[in-house]
Amino acid sequence: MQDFDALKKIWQEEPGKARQISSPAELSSTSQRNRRWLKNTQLIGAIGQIFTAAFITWMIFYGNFGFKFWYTYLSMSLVVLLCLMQAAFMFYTYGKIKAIDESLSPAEHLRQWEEYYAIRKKQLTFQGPIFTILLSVVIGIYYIEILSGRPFWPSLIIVVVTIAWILFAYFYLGKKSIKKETGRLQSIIDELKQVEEQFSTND
Amino acid sequence: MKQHKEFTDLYEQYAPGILKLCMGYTGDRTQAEDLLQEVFLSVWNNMNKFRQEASWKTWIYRIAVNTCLTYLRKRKLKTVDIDEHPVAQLQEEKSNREQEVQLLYTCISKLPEADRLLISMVLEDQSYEEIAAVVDISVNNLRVKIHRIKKQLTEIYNQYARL
Repeated sequence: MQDFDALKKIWQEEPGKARQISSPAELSSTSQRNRRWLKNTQLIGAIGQIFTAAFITWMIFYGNFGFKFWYTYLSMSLVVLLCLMQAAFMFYTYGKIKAIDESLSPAEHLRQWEEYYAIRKKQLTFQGPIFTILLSVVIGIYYIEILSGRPFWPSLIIVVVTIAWILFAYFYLGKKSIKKETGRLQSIIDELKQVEEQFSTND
Repeated sequence: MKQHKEFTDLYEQYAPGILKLCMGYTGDRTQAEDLLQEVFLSVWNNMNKFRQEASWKTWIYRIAVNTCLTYLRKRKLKTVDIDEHPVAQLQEEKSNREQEVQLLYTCISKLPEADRLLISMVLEDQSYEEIAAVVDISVNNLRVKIHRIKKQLTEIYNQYARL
């Protein structure tokens, strides 16, 4: 039967042999790389979206597509808008990850991570419907251009199949994967809250 | 160059204690060593932010506590299951002292996350004021918590030492 002082003696007799290092460059950590990866994914993604938006804008003006209707160009502009919206979301998330500070108190630090996961969750539930609606509008306008003057029945079949696919992708595939991902994020948020409470609640 | 020297001095001084804190948190040497490196990488990356509002020790331990707590989110901790490593088996592999130390680490890793970190700092003989500064809670609240955790850890240890 050991008492706490005996446990303390066991602990203190253990020297805790840490690897010797002569420079910080000798340190490496998978988790640090993960956080950098998380941050860089957002930054590179945002820059990629801006380049895509710039390329589509260039195509609108210099692409010589010769579209019959002006609103086909409008649909291309909507794609540019989508890219810029996505870039803005990604820059915002990047900023949130960058601001996470390990030297804050544990409760505050955990709250920063909680906030980051809450943003990710909000993005998933908020972005989905907006992007689906805007993309559907874009495809709809584009179809007016390419299907105008074509036979009625084949055109109708293409439109019906496309609408069916969008509905299936949004209401079945999208909802399913959003539900799974938001569930995962919520469980992380709950865990963080639980640990935060371990510090903040009085015994 | 001066920063390099300061960093290696800090590493030399605090790495053994932080490693033990990480061992208590994870109960696993490999994960503890990875965590130790992560802690000191954060120390290195944030050294320019150190404002001397707290001591180096408090600041580094705070980073260590935060790193441990979020490490859990990044990879589900594979805590060592005592039942998979009964004392009888350990006896064949390790000396008595090593065996006691490993059992202690494993028992600590059975506590809730915050408690593991608090008790590891107590075992390291840090004052309540220092620990309270690291985790930013009142000394009185900390005292009550530590009292409960000490009792809980002793019970777990004795329970498994009998196996």
